[in-house]
Amino acid sequence: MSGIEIGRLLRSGTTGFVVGCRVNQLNAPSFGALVRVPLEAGYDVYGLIYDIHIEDDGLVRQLITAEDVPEEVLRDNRENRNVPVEIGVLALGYEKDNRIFHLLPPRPPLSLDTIYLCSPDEIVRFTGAGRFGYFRHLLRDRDKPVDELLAAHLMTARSAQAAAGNQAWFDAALHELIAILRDDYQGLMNLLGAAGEI
Amino acid sequence: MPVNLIDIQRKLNDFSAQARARKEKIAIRQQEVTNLIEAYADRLDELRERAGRAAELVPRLRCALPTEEPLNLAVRCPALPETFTVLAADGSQINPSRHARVAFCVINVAVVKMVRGSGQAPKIFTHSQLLDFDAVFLPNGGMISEGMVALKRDLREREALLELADDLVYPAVSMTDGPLELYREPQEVAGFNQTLDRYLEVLSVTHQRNLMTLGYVDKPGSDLIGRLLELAQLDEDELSAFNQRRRRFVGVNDVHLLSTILQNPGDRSAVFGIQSEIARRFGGDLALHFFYLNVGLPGRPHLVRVEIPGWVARDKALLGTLQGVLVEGAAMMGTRPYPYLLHRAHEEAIVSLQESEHVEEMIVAAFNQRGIPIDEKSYKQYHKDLPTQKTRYQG
Repeated sequence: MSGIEIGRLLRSGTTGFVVGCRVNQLNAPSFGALVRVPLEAGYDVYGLIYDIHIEDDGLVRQLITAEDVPEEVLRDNRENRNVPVEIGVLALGYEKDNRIFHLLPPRPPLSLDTIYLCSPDEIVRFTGAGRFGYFRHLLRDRDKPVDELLAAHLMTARSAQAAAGNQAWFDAALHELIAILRDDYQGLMNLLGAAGEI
Repeated sequence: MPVNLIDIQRKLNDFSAQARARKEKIAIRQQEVTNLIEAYADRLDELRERAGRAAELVPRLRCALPTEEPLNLAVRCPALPETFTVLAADGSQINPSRHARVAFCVINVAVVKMVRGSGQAPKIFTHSQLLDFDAVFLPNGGMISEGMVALKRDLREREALLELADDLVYPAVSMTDGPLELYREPQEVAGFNQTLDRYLEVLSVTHQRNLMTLGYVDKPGSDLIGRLLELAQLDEDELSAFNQRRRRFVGVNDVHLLSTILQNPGDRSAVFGIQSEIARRFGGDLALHFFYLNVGLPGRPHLVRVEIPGWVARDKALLGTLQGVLVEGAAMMGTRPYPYLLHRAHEEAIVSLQESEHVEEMIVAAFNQRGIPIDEKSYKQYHKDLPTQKTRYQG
């Protein structure tokens, strides 16, 4: 498997997992990006980044009070110190024997499994499989910034799908979301508001 | 059982009254010594003569020795070169314990090397040394003391700095936390002398490599200058009867004396020599010197003591660079100034309880593989290690 490695798994559960990465690895992952965790042969878990969290500690809090932080100190804290960036990922589905399932994975990834950013081809493959079944995982947890997350995801996926010649994907996705949220007026309005920014 | 806070509360009135009375007494003495600094500011030959005579008469005399700089001198912080190297080392140790299953000692030393002006992240080097099993025991059958382990750690810190003294961007400054002078426990003369000889050898090679070195003492409680000025007040008879444990200016520390002199952030005091039994072993280029440095902020002075060898003390250009490096490094920590790299070296060197237990497990496994019998942990330690949290019924 190839791709851009964004970090390794810190902790996981059936519905999602947390990835740790060094600050200097942080240029690759972004909010709403689709990621993939290869487990055993032919079995990959897919998820969406819903949170990027940077921890502080006593030294960082102290350095904030200095008038000037030299470049060497900045790099020391970003490259040498053991303060990982935590990336929260929502599980959306999995791939088994070349078949995509928009179901929660049978078992979650394990500690230190490597997490990769999905390529445009992989985004097309995952989001184009089935009938947007993964949307229900996205919409389940209202504690997360679901509308913003959906908007970020739709923007990335639309771009990948359009590049692959699937111009109709975005409209189909919006129709599906409207159908799911038809009984949730506020949720629908929030989503359409966010989608209007795309 | 928790601390009985009611007992503590009852004592607080008396406790506070004692503290106030002591501070008031010291403040009077402090004013006296402050006046003496001004009075003796330029009478350096007189002070040197007095200290020299006192050293002949008073066993194990400990005090400051004036150099060529007036006592009330304040030197502003000079500008730094564009590029320079800073190395900081710190160590921690696992002390051997007769309560453990196996007696072992680990010294862990970290060095952080930063080239300022390079824009590069500092490099970190960690050295973990499991002391020889035989080295854990003394000839009399007892175990090596915590003090002796600390001494070996101090030596390892200096050795680790020297190991990185190649390919430096000059000027280069190396530092450790604590005095450059070593502390000796009275009962460990032989082991101490051996370690001190090696320590001096390392300092000497460090000098040959032109790597400046210093010991940084934060919140120093020393009263070396006060001791010198007290000696200056004594006549020959009083000097003969002088007892270091019953001094007139006891409690007056040097930081209080100099805080009005070193008012500007970055100011350093005059450089002084050190008169002590152990300092005598640091002769010539390595002769122990010190100065005080205000690493604080405007309106919030914070004085620290810096110990340096003679070859640095004599060279005003080197001294200025070292002063600038310390002031800059401490300022990196903002409102609580302390050299950034020393803190980083501490962070890298520290051995956690978990790591200590892991090392013990490794040794026990190695002994098991080789059929070496292993002792039981002492029952006292066993009970101390029991989890203190009650287990919750989960049925």
